[in-house]
Amino acid sequence: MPQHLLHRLLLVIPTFFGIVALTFLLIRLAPGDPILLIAGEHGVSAERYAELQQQFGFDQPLFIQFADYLWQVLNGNLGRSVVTQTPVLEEFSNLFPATLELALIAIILAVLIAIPAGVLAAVKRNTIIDHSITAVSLVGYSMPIFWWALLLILLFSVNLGWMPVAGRLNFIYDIESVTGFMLIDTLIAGDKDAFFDAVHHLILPAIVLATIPLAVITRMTRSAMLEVLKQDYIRTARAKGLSEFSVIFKHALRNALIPVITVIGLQTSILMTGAILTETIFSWPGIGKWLLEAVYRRDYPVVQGGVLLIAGLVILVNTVVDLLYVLINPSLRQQK
Amino acid sequence: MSNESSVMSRQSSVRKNPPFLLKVKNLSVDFRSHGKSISAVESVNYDACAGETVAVVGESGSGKSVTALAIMGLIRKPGILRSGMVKFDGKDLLALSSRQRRKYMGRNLSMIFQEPATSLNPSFSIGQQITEVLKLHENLNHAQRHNRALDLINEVGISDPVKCLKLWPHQLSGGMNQRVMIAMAISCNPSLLIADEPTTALDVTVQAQILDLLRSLQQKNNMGMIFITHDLSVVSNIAHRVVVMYAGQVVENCPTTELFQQPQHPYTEALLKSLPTKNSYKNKRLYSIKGSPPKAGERLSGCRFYSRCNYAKNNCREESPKLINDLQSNYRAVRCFYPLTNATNHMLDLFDDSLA
Repeated sequence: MPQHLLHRLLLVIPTFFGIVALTFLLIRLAPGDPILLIAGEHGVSAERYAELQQQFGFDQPLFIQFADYLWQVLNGNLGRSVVTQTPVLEEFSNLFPATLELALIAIILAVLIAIPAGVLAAVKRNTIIDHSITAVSLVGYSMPIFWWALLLILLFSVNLGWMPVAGRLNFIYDIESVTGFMLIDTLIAGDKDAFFDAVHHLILPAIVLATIPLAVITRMTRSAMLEVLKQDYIRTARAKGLSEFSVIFKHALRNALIPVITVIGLQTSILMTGAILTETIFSWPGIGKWLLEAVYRRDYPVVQGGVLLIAGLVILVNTVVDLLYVLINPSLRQQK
Repeated sequence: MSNESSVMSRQSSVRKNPPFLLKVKNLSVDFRSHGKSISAVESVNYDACAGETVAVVGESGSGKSVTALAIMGLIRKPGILRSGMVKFDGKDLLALSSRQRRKYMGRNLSMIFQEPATSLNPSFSIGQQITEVLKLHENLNHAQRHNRALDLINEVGISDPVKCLKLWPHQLSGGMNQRVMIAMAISCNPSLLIADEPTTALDVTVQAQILDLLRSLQQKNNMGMIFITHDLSVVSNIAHRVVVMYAGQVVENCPTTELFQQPQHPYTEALLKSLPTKNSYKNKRLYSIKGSPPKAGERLSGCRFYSRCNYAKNNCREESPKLINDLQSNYRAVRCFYPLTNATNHMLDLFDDSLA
């Protein structure tokens, strides 16, 4: 197992260099000039422009800029935002908890519903129950996320008035940010009303964000279960005299979870990297929205640094999934 | 020759006054496919006494495994149990609720399968899988279960029980996995063990070891055994009685020795003729039965073996023979209008050869 892990970790190095180079080049290939964008409608004089170019290092040849940037990154410095002058890392760490909180709630919601639904569909294969579950997950998977979000807002927030439209917390509450997770911060502050308000704000965006993972995990669980239920060891489990519940949830699900966990991991990393549409529609102050705005403003350091941090997260999640894989799959555990 | 005498002696030791342990009556199983019902097993009857090994022999698709699965209540969709009774220990298993039947399964009545490697769950250790049965059926605490598992592993001839319990199925060979399956199956001292081609997937040397193990366990625990196989040479080594199945029906049911000496059904005779013997290498082609067994679903009227039978007469095509007890000895039965007799018999040499 350690060798397996070491191998994975070594692969991280070239991946990281690739990402640094790619984001650096791609954002510069895009038309638009960050200095002109900061200057806005009033424009900027030629001397001031040259001065700013020099200040940000944009006057240097591209490969020197890249070498400088790489050196910075290797020293753990991701630079400052061209627009706000705040360090990229600081902006990221301020915003990331909001994204993570939403992503975790969404993935938990998705897993809690998707696994039982997938198991049920597999056990009741080719019945009306199976067909309904498959149809619903297909619709969920195909529904454009912004459309689905707007429908929910229209029904629950506008027409019924049950849910807030946007944001993480009603402005009447003043909660000190300790962890950045609103649910935890409100509890630390001991404000029960604020906690329930935060939950209230989370419901719609979490449902929207959970929709695609829910559909994907349901379908994966169903097909993995169908495969496993055909296996000889399921017949052995029944021959032992085990109840159908034990056969399905102990003997079958344990094996069916192996591919499902991979899918959950992939979906988690997608959600953690910022759900741009969901965060924008619900004015959720997370990294998805932040990154989108940085792209509009050609804020090179933010885009580069943000993408790099997100790539780091994806690698981290994948490594955790690999570890879980080893835990759940004994034939990987004893690799020599 | 020693084998022959052991078969004889075991034969005479049972069935004096049979208290039947298992009685399968008129068991029929259908498979549903594309809206049509296809009969896999039709009106099968056989029985087994305590301490008796009954071999069920037949080609693939003859319904031998399906019958066994039906006894265990393991028929799943698209299979449907059409009719029948499985009397075990005085109760009709098929009439019990699934909850009541589960109390017997794995405890009084257990089963081992053809593919040991895939019959064990890859996600649980050997120890977990054995103690699971004990946890389910026996009132033992954790330490007692562990000790019992060690005893069982020892009993099936695995040398390092402590280590074995910690291993996973993928770390063991096929023969070892089958031993583990056997340990699991006998963990609650069942009175009947169903072995569904337990040696088919194994090497020849391992086959012999597993057969020896099953035979010794069976004798030691006075356990009844239904031994399903397509290999007649295995039958002569292990079984007291043979049930021959063809195309979903029992065609002959007979004590082993007599079956080899005097098969009454033409199909049984043809099967015995197809066995390789000591003389087979003498430029002789091995005998094979002409034609192929009817496909499921295309079963016509008349005797099912009609088109392949060397002795068929006209009425065999139209009328279906019934399984009828032999007139002289009521402990053998055959499904044929013209059962073979001594006059047609030329099997005796063959019997000697196959057992030598």
